[in-house]
Amino acid sequence: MLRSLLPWTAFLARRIGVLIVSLVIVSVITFAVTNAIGNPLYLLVGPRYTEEMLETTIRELGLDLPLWQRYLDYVWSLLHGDLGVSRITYNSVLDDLRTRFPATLELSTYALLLGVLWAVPAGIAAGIRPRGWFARFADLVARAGVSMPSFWLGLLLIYLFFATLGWLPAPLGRIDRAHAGLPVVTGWYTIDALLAGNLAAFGSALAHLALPAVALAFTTSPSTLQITRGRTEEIMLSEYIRSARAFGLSQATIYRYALKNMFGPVTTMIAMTYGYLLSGTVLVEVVFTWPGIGLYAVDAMKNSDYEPVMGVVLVCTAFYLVVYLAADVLSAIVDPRARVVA
Amino acid sequence: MQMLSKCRLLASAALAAGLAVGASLAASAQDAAKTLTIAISGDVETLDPPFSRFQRSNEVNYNVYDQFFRYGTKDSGKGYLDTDVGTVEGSAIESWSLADDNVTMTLNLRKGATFARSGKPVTADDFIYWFERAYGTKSGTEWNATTANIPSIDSVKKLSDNQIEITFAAPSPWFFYLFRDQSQAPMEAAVARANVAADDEWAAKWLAKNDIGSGEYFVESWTPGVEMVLKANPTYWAGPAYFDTVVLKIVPSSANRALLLQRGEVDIAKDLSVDELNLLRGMPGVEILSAPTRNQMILGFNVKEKPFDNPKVREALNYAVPYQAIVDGIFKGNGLPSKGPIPVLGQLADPALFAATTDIDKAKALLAEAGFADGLAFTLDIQEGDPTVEQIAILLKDSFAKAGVDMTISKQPAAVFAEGLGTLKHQAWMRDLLWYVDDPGYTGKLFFQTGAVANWMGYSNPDLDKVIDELAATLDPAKKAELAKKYQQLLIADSPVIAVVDMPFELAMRDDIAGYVQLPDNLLWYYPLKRKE
Repeated sequence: MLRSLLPWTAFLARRIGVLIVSLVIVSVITFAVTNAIGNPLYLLVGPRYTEEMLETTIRELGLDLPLWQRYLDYVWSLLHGDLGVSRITYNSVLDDLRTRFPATLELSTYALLLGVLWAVPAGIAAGIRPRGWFARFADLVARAGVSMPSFWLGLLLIYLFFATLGWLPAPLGRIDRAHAGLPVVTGWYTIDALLAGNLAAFGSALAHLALPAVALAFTTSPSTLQITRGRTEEIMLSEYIRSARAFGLSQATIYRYALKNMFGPVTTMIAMTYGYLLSGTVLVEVVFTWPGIGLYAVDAMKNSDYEPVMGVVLVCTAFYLVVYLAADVLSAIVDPRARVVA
Repeated sequence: MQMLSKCRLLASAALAAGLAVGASLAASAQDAAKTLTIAISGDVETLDPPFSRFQRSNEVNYNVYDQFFRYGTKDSGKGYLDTDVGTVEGSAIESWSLADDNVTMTLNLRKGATFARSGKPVTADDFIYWFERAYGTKSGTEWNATTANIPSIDSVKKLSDNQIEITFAAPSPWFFYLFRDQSQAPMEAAVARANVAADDEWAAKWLAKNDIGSGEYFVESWTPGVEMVLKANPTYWAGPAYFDTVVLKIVPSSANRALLLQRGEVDIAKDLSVDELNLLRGMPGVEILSAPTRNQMILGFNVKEKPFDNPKVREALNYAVPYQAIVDGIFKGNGLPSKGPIPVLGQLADPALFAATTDIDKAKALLAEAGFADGLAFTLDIQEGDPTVEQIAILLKDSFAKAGVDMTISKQPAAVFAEGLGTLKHQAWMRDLLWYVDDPGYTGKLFFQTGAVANWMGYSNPDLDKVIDELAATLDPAKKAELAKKYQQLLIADSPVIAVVDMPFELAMRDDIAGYVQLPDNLLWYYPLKRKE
């Protein structure tokens, strides 16, 4: 029992170690970069100030301290669960992230699911018959997705489904104003609506999600599709599948073996796409007025408002690393070779 | 077959979602007539007036707090009312009298004024608290008070529950101008005091998120990043506003703001680019209001460094600015070509003093005299994210190039640009300068006096300093006009800045919105707005 757990412990310890080191590196770089770009001092005092106001603000911002000390102070509060406050709005960054992160997460997750639901089956189908009409069609869709910026597709979808056809609501956030009072439990409006048994709110949340999720799914799924397709082709031509066929194994058994070997690269690709979606939705958030972390970070960056920028980067990094870790663990469960500590 | 049923499933789910949305839209349409929806470009930063440095916050504060005074209005002849900066009316202060010594003023509080949330009457204690807080927080309101010659809290006295007295350190020509500002308005002292914290004696953290004013509206709900909903104050002294609800909807994409207005989803779309305004002009149901303003686009020079330490170089560039081309090309004929350091619509402006016109040969000749016969190169810093500034910069670049001046445009984030101004790091910069106080002395104190806080040029002229000091203590109109003339002559001769264009204020709204009043600070005042029946 103990012997069988040992590789797991070593594997997990190593991965978690990497996660912590990555977080430290990312936080140092982000802190240095945001500070190097500028500080919000003069934006905060505005054009009408006295010397005394300037000095007070310098002290409040900690600009009288050396950079390394400010960084250590920041990490110290971070370890106490304090992400600081925005200098522009006085909002607690933790509170801001609590409302905004679920918005981005909900959108990214729906986009990911939509993308995976299309890309994985389509990739397999195309991989099994690489010269068939479906493979060519899937290829065309993937090419279109790769070459189209998501925000541009978003604008097109808005003009078509809102401005022209009027089928979907205005690109104004996550839910219709009539449901603004929906009790927040998870921060995912689709889930909160179902928890409240409010089907109209659920419909509204879904209708608001539809276009941005499609825009993101369409532009981020091609890589998953290509990986799935390539891997399927490779496996179907491999010797062990050929042998299995020669031995006369049933089609279902052959597919089961094939799928198992596909799992690793495809889950890794999906995890990477998830991470990309989380941090890469900024432009789509702008186009659809989606109150997520992307917009939040951009606004903060413009004002050199360090704490929100740090908060967003750290939360995104942590989430990305956790998703990546989960993908690794899943691969390791399916494929023991992945567990080996090099 | 399986694919087909999946498609059907998706289609019916989409249909169900669509029906649900349709039903909810119908429900919300009922109170739409008395709801004013405004698309804004970003979140409101803070609700605490002294700490607001941002146009969006200033606008909300203007509407939820009741300022001491406001300007009178006059018909613009173009379907909206213009502020008349020559007349002042009481708002939170109902009436006032200045003693013969010209420095003692008695202020009578508005009878029947109440705070929007608590319904309690506004008393002298609330005004005194406002002054205490202004000095205590060391904020922009303190700057306003001291600039109005009210140096400390000792200059303010409570006479009775509805009367206060101010003793100015010297006659105060700008008192009314400054105390109509969005930040100069009483707040409910008892509530503010109840929300102080150990490290926050002026409840600044709490007041950033909460309003306790006696203004026309109060904040009903605020969802950061999504919207702010204002409700009309039912007990406002002049009667409740026509629109009982104002929704400020955050729509970061300006293309979307324009689209939503065009579709009638919002009543007003703010912060549109000149291109979007031009696209919307003439569209059915949409009206573009265009008001001339005292908002100048200013090209400023660092006069402490080469090549702009040479006044001849600065003078030369005056002749290379394509004044009329900017008005025609960018603002479609709205706005006015600038004529010197006071906006053309300023009360004391004398455009005849400004001799320069667009004359590239003259610019070249002056540059040659200055020792730059082969031309020169410099960098112009502007703040990113403002397409209008950028478009003007591009026209300038083209025109300067003809005079042999190679100008590089550098766009900077807001904080970096502001820091560069404050620390004199720009070689040259361009931004707007809004004359919300229509008095050259005030602008001089802020921008042109030696060592002034917003003297982003490093400029100094002792003669001008004297003129500005005299303007700051002169109530006599004839003497003021004479000083203003000197002020213009000196600044035109020295050219530490060039006014490039007097910009129009343009607002895109649905054509059933009426009652607009153009304020001197370009803030939108919700109270007088109505929906045409």
